[in-house]
Amino acid sequence: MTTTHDSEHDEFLRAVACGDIDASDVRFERQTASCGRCRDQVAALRDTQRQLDAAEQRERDQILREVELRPVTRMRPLVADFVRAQLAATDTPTLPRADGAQSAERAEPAASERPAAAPIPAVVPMRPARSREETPATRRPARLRTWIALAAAAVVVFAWLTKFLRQDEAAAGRSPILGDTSKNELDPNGPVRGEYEPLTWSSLSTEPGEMFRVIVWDDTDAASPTPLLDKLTDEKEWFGETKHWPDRIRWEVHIGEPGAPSPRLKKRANAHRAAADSSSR
Amino acid sequence: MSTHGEQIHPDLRTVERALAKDAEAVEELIELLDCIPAILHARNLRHGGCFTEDELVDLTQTTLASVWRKLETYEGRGSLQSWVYGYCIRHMSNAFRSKRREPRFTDADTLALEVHEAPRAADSHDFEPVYRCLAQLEPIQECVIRMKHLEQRTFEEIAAVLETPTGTVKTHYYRGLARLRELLERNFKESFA
Repeated sequence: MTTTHDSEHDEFLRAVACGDIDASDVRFERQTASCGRCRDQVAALRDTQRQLDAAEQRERDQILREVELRPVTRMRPLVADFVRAQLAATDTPTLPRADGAQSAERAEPAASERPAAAPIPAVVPMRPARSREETPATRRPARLRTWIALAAAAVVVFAWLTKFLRQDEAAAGRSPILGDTSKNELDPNGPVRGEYEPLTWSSLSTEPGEMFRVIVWDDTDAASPTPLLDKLTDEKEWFGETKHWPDRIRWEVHIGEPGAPSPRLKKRANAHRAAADSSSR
Repeated sequence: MSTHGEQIHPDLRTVERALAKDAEAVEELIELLDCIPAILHARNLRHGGCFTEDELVDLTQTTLASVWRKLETYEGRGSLQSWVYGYCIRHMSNAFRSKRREPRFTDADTLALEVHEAPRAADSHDFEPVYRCLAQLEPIQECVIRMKHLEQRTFEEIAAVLETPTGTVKTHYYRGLARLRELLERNFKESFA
């Protein structure tokens, strides 16, 4: 018996594609026996799934092959610091074991005894037990090592935090140490005699594939949100008509790849005509 | 790390010894985990290099932390690098999605420059017709199929990430798969025309 292929059959195909109905299901046999189109579609969907899995596998194999042949990455110190800091963080003293056992394997509990998703410090919950002869004096170096390890971990955390802060500050054109660093890099910045042009940012540079985006806004009291200029360029200066620009402008240079979600770096400056400066006083 | 009755990869022993603070094994583990930045870098290149060096450093850190938290679940069924690969892909894909949500750095007058939308990974996979066709799907269908097959996520996980009902995710998956089939067939016919 054959049936016409309708929306109910689509529901069946959706369930098969998503694994809700498999080949051992009675409905599967019944449907594929009664509808030739369903039978063909099931075969086509499965073939597509196989192609996807095969593509993923090929990509995985290729990347892992490349990785195996790689030289040491520049991030090796970061990886090494992280691993050592994590291991050091678990280096907490425990009471000496009565039998003085030293085996590293004994110090590592069996997998079944460990929680599935233990927090990082619990990865190595025990250190090898100390011998009975251990005295407070011999324990001092161990304590010292613990403190050194904690200090090292603190340094790593501090370094990460500093890096994040620097990224945010750099994007805003500020340095956490030097303050507003954009002032010296964009010209004009501050009072201007005559016209604003040319706008220059000669000390900034792009990386391969990057461009500059120059945006200028009206910075007077009647400032409009629409930019006076919004230009993408690979030059380090912009020439153009600025006579009609207001007495005060705010401008920014963004550096990044066209099409990238956000610029790598932003620099900003304010400029005003010198006449406007004196009249405002 | 239960490993009974299977061929155990020697990396498991290295991990166990390193966690027990065997100095030599710690160095070996560092060398093994150095594959994380290498995998991220290699995959970034294939996907049009849309992550900057700084972003790759951040990705390395988050992936490393994630791998470390789960290190004890590594069972030695394959190499550690192969196990770590899955974490790298997931973190990178999450970062792709975050990037796509951010406002774009573009000039309205130069839309032509938008041709290489970074997160559309297929651009750099010209050798893979599957990826090329995948990039022609509706974004939500492409996203669901990628998460299912490339990130090996369950439909429930995908639904949670996309904040969409599981049924809707399955519908996107099914429709995307059917459309992908059409595109692959057309691509196949064209390549032999």
